[in-house]
Order: sequence, then structure tokens, then C-alpha cells
Amino acid sequence: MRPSSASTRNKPVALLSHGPAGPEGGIIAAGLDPPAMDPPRPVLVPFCFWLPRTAGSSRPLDPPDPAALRSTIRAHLNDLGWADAQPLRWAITAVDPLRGLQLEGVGMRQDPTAQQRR
Amino acid sequence: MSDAPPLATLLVIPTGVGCALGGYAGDGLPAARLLAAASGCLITHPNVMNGAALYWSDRRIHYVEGWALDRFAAAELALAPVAGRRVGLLLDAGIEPELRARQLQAAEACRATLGLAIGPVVTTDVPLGVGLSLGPSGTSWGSLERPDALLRAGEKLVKAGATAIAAVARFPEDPGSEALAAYRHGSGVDALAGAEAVISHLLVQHLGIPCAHAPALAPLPLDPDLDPRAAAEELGHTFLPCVLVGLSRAPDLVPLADDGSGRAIRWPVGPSRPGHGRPPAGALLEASSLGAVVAPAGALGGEAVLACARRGVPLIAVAGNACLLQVSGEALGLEVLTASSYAEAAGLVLALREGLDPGSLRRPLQRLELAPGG
Repeated sequence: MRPSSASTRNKPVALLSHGPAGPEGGIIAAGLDPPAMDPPRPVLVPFCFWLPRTAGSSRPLDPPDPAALRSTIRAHLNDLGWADAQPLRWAITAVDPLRGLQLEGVGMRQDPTAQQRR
Repeated sequence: MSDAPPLATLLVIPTGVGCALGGYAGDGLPAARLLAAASGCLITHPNVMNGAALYWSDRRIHYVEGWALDRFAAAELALAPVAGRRVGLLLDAGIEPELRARQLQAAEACRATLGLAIGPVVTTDVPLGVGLSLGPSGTSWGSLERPDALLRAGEKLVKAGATAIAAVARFPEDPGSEALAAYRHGSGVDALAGAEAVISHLLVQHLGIPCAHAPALAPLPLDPDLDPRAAAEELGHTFLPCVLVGLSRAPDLVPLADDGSGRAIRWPVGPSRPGHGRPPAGALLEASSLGAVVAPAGALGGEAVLACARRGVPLIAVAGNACLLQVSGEALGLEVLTASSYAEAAGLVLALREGLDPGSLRRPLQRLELAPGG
């Protein structure tokens, strides 16, 4: 995919209304219900931090445990003030003998209304 | 190629880290095809398979979005192959009318020419506000101003009968940027990839159905020096056809039973729908059946690769696919089989499939070691 650096020039356009299916049962544009009254929104939280190598493993050269790293990321996001945030996308993006593992990614604060909507 | 049983193989070429192979417009596809032939069963993700207007459909290749791929590798999800599925189209309200019409025509073309089941179409109630950024390592990341609008539109599609979602968001662009010129000339990071991954991760995590993303971008002026790896994105007006084809046969995502750890996945919306029960055990692809994982030698720090390595799945590190990162097996303490190219990686996969010890194919061949006390 292409790189870009400019800010978006998005402009809202009118929503498609409900339309009848064509002769072949064409693609139907479904209308949207109005948004709910200001529900809590999920929030994306970028992060990048160094994890001392021994924190994610029992010995310095043990392979990293991804489940332990997810917990570490959750704890980091908690320390940033996002108590209920979960890692959405992350990776180890650098390894340094002194600083350890660089964990870089995006977390998401869970939408508190998600379970209620089920 | 082989009459041995298929060897389920995971191919990971991370998005947005500048991979020389697979970091452009679906240019990982030839490697995927070769590995599918060698293994008989390849699980990989949209970044590998999506070539804008170009695609390749192969029953041996399972198209699994990155978040689901990570959960699959962690043994939290299984994959259930399907004959076909209905792909709903999710359009960003920030797409201009003409560009929007191009997306709809691409979808119509896939219905008429390929026979895909597509629809309905939903437009988000507000523009998604895609933002692009580079992380400290130089890899691409991204964000959305309105993830809530994305998820609402996804819910609407699921309720309307979609069993997969192709999302199209308006991405910011600057035709004169140095980054774009570098990318078109074959050097540079795919700056859109990080935000694309965030969009698809959000949808799959929330809905529990296959989802993938294509950006909406205005056509670029002709560049006679265009790198072949970027050329697939300049053939048409949209990047949507590959996504629709990939999703049309993407496997179901089946949460595995809670093992008592409390980590079993429960979708807020998706798989509670009728008829989405667990398929028979034999029909499922599970992480425990993986026989190999293939990844660039410098990009082994992703969740899926780490989970497989931890389980002892043979890890084939492709040294010939350079990228921005230097997160190697040696740096992480992982045991790897090094391959200089994807052709060699395919040979190693075939060796594993045939029950050959890859070490027997290399020289020098070390003598057997006696175990302590042996």
C-alpha cells in the first residue's frame, strides 16, 4: 500500500438510503440507525517502551513468552492511566543487550457497553 | 509435488516493516503460492495475499486477518474452512462520491465476473478519520479518530447477514511526498499498512468474523520508473478486488473451549448468531497441528511467531527478506532453521512434510551426541 504524509482531506458525504434490490438482487445499501446518545467510545492508545529482558522470561536468553508480554503491555497501559486497555496490535521491534526488548504497538480501551449490546 | 499428508504451515510477513519481499502490493503472493504447494496447507494473512486488483485464489491457502492469526497461533481460535461466505462492504463516510462509486463498481464487478456473494453495503455515520504515523523503530502504525463508528457499521453488517466484512476507509494522501516516491520506486515502508491493520484488528476482535481492509485513494499520475513490486496498486481505481476474493473463502474463526485460564475468546457481537456452532473436530485447523512457521529472519518478534516458537513449531527464518527490524532468532533466543530465500524455505517445508530431518540436507553433518549418562 502507498505511503502518505499529508493530513486527511476527508469530507462527509450523505449516507445511502435504503434501496431496492436490482434485477439481479444487487448490492443493497443499508441505512444506519442514528448513533446512540453519546455512548462511551473505544479509544486507541499507541505505546512504545523498553522491557528489561528478564521481565518477560525467567532467564536472559529464554525466548519471550507472548502471553507474559501481553500482560506486561496491559500493565504498562494501566500505568499510563488506561486501566481497562488491552493490546490490539504489538510486536517486539528491537532488542538491545542493555535495555532489553522494545515493545511497540497500539492498545485499545475496551468499550464498557460491549457486553450490554450482546 | 508430494503425496505425504499436508503440513499445516503458517506464513507471516509483517505489515509495515519494509520487507523487501511482501512489503509492497501483494508481492508476497508468489512465495505464498510456492509454500502452499510445498506444504499442502498454508495459513497466511491479507498483507501477503492482497495485490489490489490482483489476487490468487487457492484452496490450500487460508486467508486469516492478523488479529485472528495471532489468536490462532496462541491456540485461542481454530479455523474452519468454508465453501463461501457473504462479504459485507463497509464504506467510510469520508470517501468522496466519485471514489465511493469506484468502490461500489469494484464490488459489482466481483459479483458479476467472479460470482462472489457481496453485500449489503453500509456507510459509517461519521468519517473514520484515519491517521498515519511511524513508530520509533520506523515501522508504520496508525489510528482512527472514530473507532466507534467503524464498529457500529460492522455490527450493522453482521445483523444484515454479512459473514465477512471488507472495509474501505479514506486514507490521507500526498501525491508529492518523498515517502510515496520512495515506495513507488521500491524503497521505503508501506506507511498505510499500520492503520489498515488497526482497522481490521478492531473489526475482527469485535465481531469475530473475517475482515480485511482496502484503502480508498485517488489515482496517481503515471510514473515510468515504478517498481514492479508496487505496480499492482496502479492498475485500477480501487484496491478492493483482492480483499473481496480473499474474504470470500476465508475460514470461520472458532473460539476454543476455555481451558480454565479464563482466556477463552467471547465475541461481543459476532458468533452468537444462529448457526455459528462449533464444527466437527476433524474440520478444524488448530495451532496444535501446525508443522512449520515461516517468517523474515529479522522480524521474529510478532505474537504469532513467538507463540509458535514457544510451542516448538519449527521456525524457518528467511534471511533473504530484509526489513527495517533486526529482531532475529539469535537476539530473541529462538532456535531457527535459516533459509536464504522463500525457495529454500519451501524446500525445508517439503522436507518436514516428508519426514526428513532438515539437518541431513546441510553440511557439515554433525556426529550424534551422547545424552548425559548415555
